[in-house]
Amino acid sequence: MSGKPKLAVWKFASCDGCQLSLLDCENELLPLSERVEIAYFLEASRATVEGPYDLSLVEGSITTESDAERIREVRRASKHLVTIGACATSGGIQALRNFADVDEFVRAVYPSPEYISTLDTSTPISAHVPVDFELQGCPIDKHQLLEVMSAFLNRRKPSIANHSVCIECKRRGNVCVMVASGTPCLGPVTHAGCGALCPSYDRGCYGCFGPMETPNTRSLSGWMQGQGAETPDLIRRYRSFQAATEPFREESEALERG
Amino acid sequence: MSAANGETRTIKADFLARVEGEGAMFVRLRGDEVLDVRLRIYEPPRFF
Repeated sequence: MSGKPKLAVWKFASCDGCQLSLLDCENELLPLSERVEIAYFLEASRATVEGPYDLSLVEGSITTESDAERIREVRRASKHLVTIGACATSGGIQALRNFADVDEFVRAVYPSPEYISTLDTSTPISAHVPVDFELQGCPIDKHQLLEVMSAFLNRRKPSIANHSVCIECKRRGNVCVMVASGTPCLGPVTHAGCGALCPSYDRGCYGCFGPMETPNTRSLSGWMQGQGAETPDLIRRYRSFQAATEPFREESEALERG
Repeated sequence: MSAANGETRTIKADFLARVEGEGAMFVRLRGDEVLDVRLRIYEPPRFF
């Protein structure tokens, strides 16, 4: 059809929010579609073009046997594979089952549990196939997404800062919610990308972008405890959208052990 | 599209993007009469 690189967008266990971040690009979508052929993107169009695909964006985690097989097919059909969002990168909120009995969840949530088929764990895409780049966020930031797509189209490394939310917070000129008012905040250990959204509204960061590079969660927990935060609250703080990502999981387990 | 002639039509949507996640729908009609409807939600459960 054309010599343009083919883009595919895939969904696994997820809320569709990261795919919507791509649709939310609005003004940038038209120039993007001039550069790439949007070959497979069911959230946007039922018209599909057969693979192989030059760039696959993968949203969602693996929670069923059939999805564990499907991601291998996606990998085989893709030259480059980039995960988008917390689910695909760390297992998402649905990875809370990894700390509990999934059958109890099924019985609590669904009136007819016999229809439900699911694995005991929610795992990131990287646990199943090689991944070329992981874009964090819940949901991802559309500007970072455009940067990642641009980088792959131009065969360069994506320029995504992996420092903490604190840097973004300082750039906005915010007063530190933790220092000034003792609000527990995961900003010091959380990956930048949101523009320090929550602290800008006097709320502590809840870590939806996942861990920054080399996060010192032990130290942060000590500081939050020093300001009066209770251990069960801290465990819940690390166990949300990024519960299964290694640094947050390890810290919540360390807090549990006491 | 006249449906009064007793002709059998089948509507198959293999992908519905926004039905509590993803799903599929199958409808079979004869004329104006619906013979069979099947809705399948294949979105993996997330519990939250």
